[in-house]
Amino acid sequence: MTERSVSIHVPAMTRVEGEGSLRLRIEHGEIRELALDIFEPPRYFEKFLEGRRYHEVLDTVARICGICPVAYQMSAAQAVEDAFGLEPGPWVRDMRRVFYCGEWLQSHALHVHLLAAPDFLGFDSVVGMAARHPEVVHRGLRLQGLGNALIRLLGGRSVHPVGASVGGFFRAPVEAEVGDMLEQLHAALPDAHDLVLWAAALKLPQDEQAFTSVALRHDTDYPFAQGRIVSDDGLNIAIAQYGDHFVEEHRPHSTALFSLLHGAPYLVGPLARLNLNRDHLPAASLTLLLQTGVVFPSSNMFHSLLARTLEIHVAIVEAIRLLENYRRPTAAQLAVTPRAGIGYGATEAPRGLLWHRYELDDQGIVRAARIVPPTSQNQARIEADLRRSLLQYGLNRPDDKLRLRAETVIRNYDPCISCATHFLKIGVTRQ
Amino acid sequence: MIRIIGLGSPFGDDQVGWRVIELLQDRLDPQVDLVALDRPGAALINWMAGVRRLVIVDALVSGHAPGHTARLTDSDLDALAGGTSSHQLDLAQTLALAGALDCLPEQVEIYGIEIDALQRTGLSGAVADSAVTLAKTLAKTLTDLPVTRVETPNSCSRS
Repeated sequence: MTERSVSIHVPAMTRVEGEGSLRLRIEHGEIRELALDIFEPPRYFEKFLEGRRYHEVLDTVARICGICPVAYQMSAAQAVEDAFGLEPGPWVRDMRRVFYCGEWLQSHALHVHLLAAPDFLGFDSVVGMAARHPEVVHRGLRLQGLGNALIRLLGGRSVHPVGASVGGFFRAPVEAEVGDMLEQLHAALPDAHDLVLWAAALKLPQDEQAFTSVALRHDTDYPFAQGRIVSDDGLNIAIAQYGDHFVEEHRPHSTALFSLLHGAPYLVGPLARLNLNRDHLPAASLTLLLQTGVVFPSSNMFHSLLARTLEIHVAIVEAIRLLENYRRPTAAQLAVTPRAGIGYGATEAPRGLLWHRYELDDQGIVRAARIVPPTSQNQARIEADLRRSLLQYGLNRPDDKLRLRAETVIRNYDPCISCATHFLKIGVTRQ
Repeated sequence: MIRIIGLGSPFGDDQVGWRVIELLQDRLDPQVDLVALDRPGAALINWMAGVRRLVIVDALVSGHAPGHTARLTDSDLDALAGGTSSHQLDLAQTLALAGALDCLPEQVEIYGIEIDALQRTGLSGAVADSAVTLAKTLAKTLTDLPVTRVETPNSCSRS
């Protein structure tokens, strides 16, 4: 079969947030070209932030992504507070973690049930899957709805939330709202429990591969919005040192920037987080993970799906822990006094590490902004994975099988292409 | 139960669905539920529980002049599928999913207002005018109708 020439072009990837395309050219049994293209209109958010006052930053960055606005707001709040030398205190830190739990819940539930599950249950789309597995879709919608409700509790609304501010939140929920939320969270635990076991029982491809995991690591907790940046090959740095180790570069076929750690691709996201923070799982989540029999750290990229479901469980357990002894504070936000400086923020978005850097003047006006989203950090890793996964799968398989496998590999990273898109124009001629 | 949902995002004319909801506040029988949602994707299905008649107002990009208002049929929706929505499931897919899950209300009406996709802040004039006209039409249609509460317990309930 080595003489066969195949060219697969998937013009618009389905079931991936945002829009992208994959070009794959196989000649004489070898991959001659493999490129994940991104053609959504470029985003100018870094430039757009310049000249804006610090209190406009959170509202602006929330618009970068309709799926993970909380992540953008939390990294930005942390960075601006870092520049101003502001320490938000335990109540704000805890509630930001709860806010973040809501986002993991809704984003992971959407991905697992509506976008990824059809791949592993053998359907083209969730619509086809719903007729045969309605309970799977209903569970996804329930968990997604719970995540949205948790975001609304602190954000005022679930998509493009407006409740977060530099220094805290505009409003603290009253005890009755939190009590109602706690009831919903407790009621969802069986769903989350079943979900993890369901994911562990799925027939996932066995695809062991070597990659470097990168995630935040906190002293004691599973990481959301605090910690140092660590990797499984020894990196352990403060978030301000990110630029000394990670470099972003343009590639001609993509408007996203490709991030490299010491010149090599790396992985961020649920699998990387779990690989590096298994010992910091809440006790109930760790017990559940042990029940699955799947061992982490794992080098099977498809265990991302299982990691994502376990993080749904973590999010519910953590939200319950943090809300259980809730007391409404007298003030939900600290007074903010701008000062000139550079600030850094790094949090774990559902899709992985989201790093921000802002330079602000003494009036609190943004002079420079840099935002590194998780999908651009995974970009090089996705291409490397595609290349070896397709070779391992067998290039002599029929085109539609190759196409589906390629789509499955890409979708497994849950890429949010609209977030990752930067400013370079596409359409550069390929060499 | 009758529910009117305005779909949108905070970008320019895409807010038109929300504007229609805002205009309908206090103009309808309180039993008609008004909801503005920001790009809910499949989570729209969570708003169908117990609803007998669902009215959806959304922004539309179909090549007509900004402000053009249309009541969309199933085939219109199919033709628009995958067009303007870059996140999550689009409206046609979401309704198809709701159908597959047996969650669709008895009656679903969808109104689209053509927007100027380049409008960046606030609503453009023609679109704002059409929001007023559509709100008036909906208010008239819905106040003329006897409101009967039909609570249909189903598994599409909102958590």
